[in-house]
This record gives sequence, structure tokens and C-alpha cells, in this order.
Amino acid sequence: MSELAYVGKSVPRVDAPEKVAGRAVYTLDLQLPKMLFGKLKASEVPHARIKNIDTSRAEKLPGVRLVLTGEDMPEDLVWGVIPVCYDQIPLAREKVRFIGESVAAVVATDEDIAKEAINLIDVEYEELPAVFDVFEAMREGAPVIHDKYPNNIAFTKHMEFGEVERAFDEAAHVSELSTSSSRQAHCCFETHVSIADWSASGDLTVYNSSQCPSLSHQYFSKLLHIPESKVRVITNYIGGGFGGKATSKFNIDFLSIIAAKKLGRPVKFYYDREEEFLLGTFRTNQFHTTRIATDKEGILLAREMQMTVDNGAYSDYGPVVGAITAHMGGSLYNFKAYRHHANVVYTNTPYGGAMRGVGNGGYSFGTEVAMDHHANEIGMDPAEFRFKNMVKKGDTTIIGAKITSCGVHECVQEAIKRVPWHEARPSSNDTKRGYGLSVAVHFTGARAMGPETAGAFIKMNKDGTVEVLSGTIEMGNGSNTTLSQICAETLGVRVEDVRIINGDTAVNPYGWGVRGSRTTTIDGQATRLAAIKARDMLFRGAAELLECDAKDLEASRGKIFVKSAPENSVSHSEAYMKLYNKQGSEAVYTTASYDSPSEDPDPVTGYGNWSAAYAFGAKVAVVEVDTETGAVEVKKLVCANDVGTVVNPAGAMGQIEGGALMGVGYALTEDFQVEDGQPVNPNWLDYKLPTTQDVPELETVLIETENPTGPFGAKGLGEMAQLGTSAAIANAVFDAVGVRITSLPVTPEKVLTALREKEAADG
Amino acid sequence: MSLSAKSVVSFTLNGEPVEVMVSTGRYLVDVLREDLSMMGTKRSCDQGVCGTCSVLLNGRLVSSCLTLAVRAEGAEVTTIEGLGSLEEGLHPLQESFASHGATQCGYCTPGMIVSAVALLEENPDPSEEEIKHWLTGNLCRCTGYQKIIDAIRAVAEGRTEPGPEAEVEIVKAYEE
Repeated sequence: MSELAYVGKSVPRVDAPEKVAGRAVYTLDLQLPKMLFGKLKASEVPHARIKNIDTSRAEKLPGVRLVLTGEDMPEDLVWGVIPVCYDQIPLAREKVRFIGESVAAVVATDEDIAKEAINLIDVEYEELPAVFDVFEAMREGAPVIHDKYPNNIAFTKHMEFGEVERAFDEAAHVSELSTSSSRQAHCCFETHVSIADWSASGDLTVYNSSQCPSLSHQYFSKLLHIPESKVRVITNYIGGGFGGKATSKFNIDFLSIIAAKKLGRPVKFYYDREEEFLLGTFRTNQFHTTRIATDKEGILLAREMQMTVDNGAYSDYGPVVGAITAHMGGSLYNFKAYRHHANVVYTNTPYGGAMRGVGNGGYSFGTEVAMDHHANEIGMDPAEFRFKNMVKKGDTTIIGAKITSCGVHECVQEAIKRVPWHEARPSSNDTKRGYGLSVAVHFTGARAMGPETAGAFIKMNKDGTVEVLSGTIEMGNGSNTTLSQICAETLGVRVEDVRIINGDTAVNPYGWGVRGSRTTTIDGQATRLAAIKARDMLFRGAAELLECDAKDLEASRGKIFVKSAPENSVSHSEAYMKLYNKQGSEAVYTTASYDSPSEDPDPVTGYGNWSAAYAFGAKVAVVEVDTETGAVEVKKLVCANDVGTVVNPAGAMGQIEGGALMGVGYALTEDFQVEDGQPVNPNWLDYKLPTTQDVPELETVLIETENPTGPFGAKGLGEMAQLGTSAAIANAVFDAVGVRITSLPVTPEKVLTALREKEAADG
Repeated sequence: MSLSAKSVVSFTLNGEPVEVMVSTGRYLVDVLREDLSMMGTKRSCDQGVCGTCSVLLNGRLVSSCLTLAVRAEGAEVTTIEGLGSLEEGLHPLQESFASHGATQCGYCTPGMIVSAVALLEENPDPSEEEIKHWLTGNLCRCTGYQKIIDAIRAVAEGRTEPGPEAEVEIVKAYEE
């Protein structure tokens, strides 16, 4: 193939002009004629039987059109993520299980009236004993949150290969470390929103902020018993997702649909900022105890992890977190024996979900701090320890992951090269500098929950421009730009002549949307395959015009030409018209569907090549620790990511910088706290997001490998961008001052306490 | 006066006179978005923390989620739509944000650009540190801020295209 025209180039974002002009339309901006507004009544107690809900005062308020409670909801309307764990309902029925749970909803002619009516609803509770701690919840006699789960364990995952106990018995060194991670909120700027509108003929249109409109479409149809042909889901630009909008079904979706049907008018519900914390999910808080065994050369023999995931009061992605980390853990290092045991446990707290690297954020913190700890105990350089043990291309790991491309060794080499890794750490009397390393793996095109298909339709216009109908949406990740590049490259048109049409299930193909670092790889492949079909059709028209064989043709930058004589060329428009302007004419409209070429893991053992490819990365943090205050300042962060073939370098850099800063927040300040069931900081005054003041020097290195399963060799990146940051920072703190902070976030208080304990112990 | 008492507020919005009936307790952001359909200005934290709803009131930067609409009486209000347009030409900061990849999901972008306009009005040549200090009140969840800072520095230097800092280092690691 000749040099690539667009893949590998920093093509400017196609969505940027309308975004900078203030003209991009988000679902929260939509106002439909005669639209009504919904609001939610929240539970004020963490665990109680609902004795009575008196809605009479609210119903009498002028402007109120409808008041709904759990009794008004269809009994079979229950959802979640893994079907065996379905337990979510739109409004509490009989019991409430966390503070903030929706107990009633009001629909009114304006938002102020709806808010006022919410305050007029009287709920009588009979309080029940509650449990907020995962370990207490598993004890005998603990309050039972769901009758179906008497021990409060929603889900258990066990994966084991090799002779684990023998490996620990025969090891030269065994280490053990317990770690925990905090709740990190997505903090999407646009909160969740859903607007439902029924036509007179019974067709439903839902406008929502979903990362996967196809999934919304499918679930609204299935759960509400409406044929798919009668449901249309429209998603405009969404103001950030980060996994928080990936389930694509929230209680406000069902409430707007049910209310709009009853009232015959469009109904809009959205979460306010506080509800976004309480009902919009967050990164689950997790507890990990990691045991590591090595031989006398520092080669890994075994790893065991006992993991406990705080599910919150309902199951969203919690069970997936427990399950998927078992696969993650076995895809980065080579082990002779491996055990992963996860319990996902109910508590009377808001429920967690998936956030940028589902489960892997807390998991990789636990693992990479434990690896650093082990390397320190055996007196080995942490980078050297990684080099000895990380997977390589060609490996099949202990859990069956086939590593067909791998740049993780290069990631570590390039990352440590950018700091004086092997030199003495500079320090003054009260500031100490340290360097910390972490590595990470994430899936890109995984059979996490069955087939992960993507579709693409390519519609050629007669003037040679192209529309790609895609099952994706644009949430800021840049996929409308990368898909345009992949289409333009394959079809040989100019990138400015490609337009991505997405976010409308009535016209777009089915697809798994924007999630799981899959869009570039899986949707990219679907786009490429549909474009190949369109190109081959056009080549037939061009061959007639140029009087040559179609196989002698090539297309690039808006021209179809003879490979050996590029001056002999026609435009895509001319080739199309040749096909079109005759009897039996053909419209160039091609379709392709692509499923992740990964394996379903064995249902019993979990063995299998669970992802089409594995994306790797390394991060090195440079920190300064103030020993007087315990404050940690991140001076520099080097991010080296194995991206396969880079499709858009500037776009990749943007993902990495944004992910890295989200990781800095996770490491140092972000902590959605729930004390005795009471959310403490569900707002942006008290929940500390990173600001411009927190931006360290960011150095990005893209490590190119060739992913045989990705379009042009590309891999996913979105989630890898954040992973590993928190562990690199915690490990740098250890390097600086010799104290191991094992829980996130790494606050000055924890550092100072640990420093005082160390001083006391050192005498 | 009660919060639900209504009054007519007249002001200049992006150079055009507007007149709107508002209740006393209503915030400017809601009047802009819902009554005047100026959806470029976004609302996000509702507490004056994130800067997403930033607009200029008589040239001064304010959070429109904390500004009562009645305060706009007789004032000049400038929103993102008033800075430049796709039809008549974008403002250099809008151009620069686009070319630098300083917008991802785009939800913070209007407020961020309005804030940057106010910064350059006050300090036409801010250092990176001064930009960071000024933008502390404008949060972004997507970009990590660096591209935003670079986009503003570029305009201060009289350009809108990215400089050498935007070069991405790529290391090929093709195994045999």
C-alpha cells in the first residue's frame, strides 16, 4: 500500500467548529413543544420499609399533571447489567435501600412547580437496621438488603489456574498487601437526561444521553414490551460519558417513557448535580488483598487476589467489576499459578457502576502498588521486576489471553527514560522527590458480556461525498474524527467529504456504542469493511471509464487511478455515475457488521482469549512530598501507551492528557464519601475535581505496535489513558519518603500519619 | 418583593436588544437558555464552581447560574454566540480552541472561551502560570487543560494554529 493519506495524521476534530461556536446540540438543550418536566423524590433514610406515600397534596398543586410511585410501575420492569443480577427498579417499592433512592416522581408544567410538588409528598418509613461496610455486610446476622441474597453477596467470581498453594510454599519470597480504592464520580458536565415523546400512532421516540443508543433501543423495547420498530432512540452530542452513560438505561428513561405515554405529551427528566452522584453511578470502591510469590531470581510464581467490591444497594456494573478484573489480572504478567476471588457485596449506599476502565481503576491500583511493594521487599528495581515478568508478543497467558501485539516493555523503557530513574533523588529538608512506575493492561474489543458487534452503513452520494451511518455516538472521545479518517483512507475519498451520521436508531445500524475502548477497533473495522465494499463497487465503474481491470486501480484523496499510471484517474463521482446511469443501475450503499474476534471464556474456568487485543501502557510519576504537611505535588507524569497504529496522534494525546489528569484526581483528591449511608459531598464544591492548578508537566509517548485485529493495526486507548496513574503516584510517594499509602486517595493526612508512624518505628 | 413576582427585564444580548418577563428569583442562565433559546451557554454544577455558565455582563466575567436575571437590566450581556459565528467568522479564541483540540465533549467549551476572552481583555499576554491561575474557576473533565492553555497562549502570540508543543512523540515498537 502506498503511504497513508489520513491514518496517522492529526486531522482536526470534525466536531470542533460547532462546539467552539456554541452551536453543538446536547440532549439537555432540547425543548419540545408542550413538553412537561419531571422531578424525583429521594429517600432520606438508608434502609426502611415504606409504610405509606401520601401524594394528595402534591397532586392538588396547580400545574402538576402526574405523580408516580413504585406501585404505578410495571412489576416486571427490573434491570441491571448482568441478567442474573437484575434488581434495579424505577421507583422504590415496599423498601428503600439507600439515601437518595427515588421513591416518587412528579410531572408538571414547569420545573419549579415539579420541585415544589416533590416537597409536598409525604413518605412514612419504618426504619430498618442498615449496613454500610462490605465486611460487616458479609457477617452472619447482618441486615439483609435484598431477600434473594441473605448473605448480601450479589455475585462471586472465582478463577484459578495452576497449583497456587504449592507455588506459595515453594517460593523464595512471598509478599502480601491490602489496598482499597475510593468512589470516583464521572462528573460528566452534561448530567443524565431523558425525554420521551409518543406519537398519536403509538411510536415512541426517546432522546437520551446514552453512550449506546442501540442498547437503549433494545432494552426499552424488551423491558416495556414494545416492538423495536416502534421505538426510536436519538442521542445528540453527549457532554461526557466516561462509562457513566454506558448501561444506557436509567430510571429517568423509564419514568419519562411511562409518564409521556399516560399524559400524551413529551416529558423530560434529568438528574441535577446531586442526583448525578446519587443515581448516575460512579467508580465502585473496592478492597484488594494481594499475595505475590517469586523465585530467587524474582520471577513471578503466583499471584492471589481476594477482592471485595462495594456494590451499593443495587447491582449495576458491580458484578462485572468482580468478574472482569479476574481476566485483567491474568493478561499483564506471566504466572505459574493464579487465583482471583471476588465478592461483590450489597451495602445501604448508592450503587457504583462502570467508569473509564470498569473495575480496572481500583484493581490496577491494588495490583501495581503490590508489585512495587514486592519489588522493594526483594530489593529489585521496580522496572527490572516488570521487565522480568511482563507478557510479550506471542505469549498465551495463564488465563488464555493470546498476546498478538505488545508494546508494554517499550512503554516502560520509554517512560523511565524520561526521568532520571537511576539517579539519586534530590531532596531538601522538608521536600522529598520520588519516582513511581506502574503498568496496566485493558481490553480493546472484549467479549465481556457476549458478542460486541458494530455495524456500519456507507452511503455514497453522487457528488462523491460519503455518509457513514454508525452505531456510535460522539461523547468527546473523537470517534467521529477517527471513523472519518478510516473511511476516507479505505474508500480513497477526501476526509472532508466524509460525514458521520450517528445517534439515531431509526437510521443507524445496531452497535455497542462508545465504551470499552472498542470504538476505533470494532466500529473502525465495521467502517473499513463497508468502505471496502463501496470502493470495490466504484472500482467497477472506474474500470469501465479507464478501460482497465478493476484490480489495477487504487483510490486516494478523492481520486481513483491506475496504480501504474496515476495520471489516468476519475473522480468517485464519475465512477458512481457510470454505475448509476444505466439500466439495472446500482446505488452505492454498502453495509458491514463486525464482531470482536475474541473468545467467550470457558463458562466454568474462565479460560479463553477474552479480548480481541490487549492495550498496554506505563506511567511514571514524579512527585514532591512535603514532609511537614504531607502534601503530595505531582511535578511530572510520563504516559507511554501502546496504541497499536495511531490513527490520530493529536486526538490520542488529548485522550491521554485528559485521562492522566482524571487519574491525578483519583490519586489525590476525588473521593465521593458516604458516611453511615449519608452522602457527604455530592456536589462540586466538596468533591474536588482537578483544576488547572493541578496540571503537572505531561509527557506523552505513543508506542506503535501492529494489532492484527484492528483497522490499520489500531488499538483502543480511551480507558488506558487513565489507568495506572494512581498507582504510579502512590509508588512515587513511597520512593520519596518510604511510606506505603495503600488507600485512595493519597491525602496529606494519610501521608503525614504514615510518616509519623514510620518515625516512631525507626526510633 | 417575592421570588415569584414577575418583572420585565430589558438588556442587550450579543448586540441585540431583548426584553423578557422574568420572576425575581430566576437566574440569568435559565433565562438565556429557556426563554431566549440561547443554548450555547451551559449549566453544570449550579454552584458557581465550574464556570460552564460563564458570560460577560458589561464586559465582566460572571457565572450566570449565580446571577439573577433582573441584574441584567440595562446591561450588555455577551455569550459564546456573541463572540463569533460559523457564518460571520469565529473569534480567534474559538479558532484556536478548535485547531488545538482544546474541546472534547465540548460542554465546558463555551464558558471556557468566554472566560479566556475576559482574561485576554485584562491581560493580553498572560504567561502559562497566569492562564492557569485565571482558569481555576473553569473546570474541564475531558482535556486535562493543557490543550486549552496552549490554545490561549497561541492567541496571545497572535496565532491560532498549534505550535511545536502539539507534536506527538511516536516510537515504533514493531517486533520481528
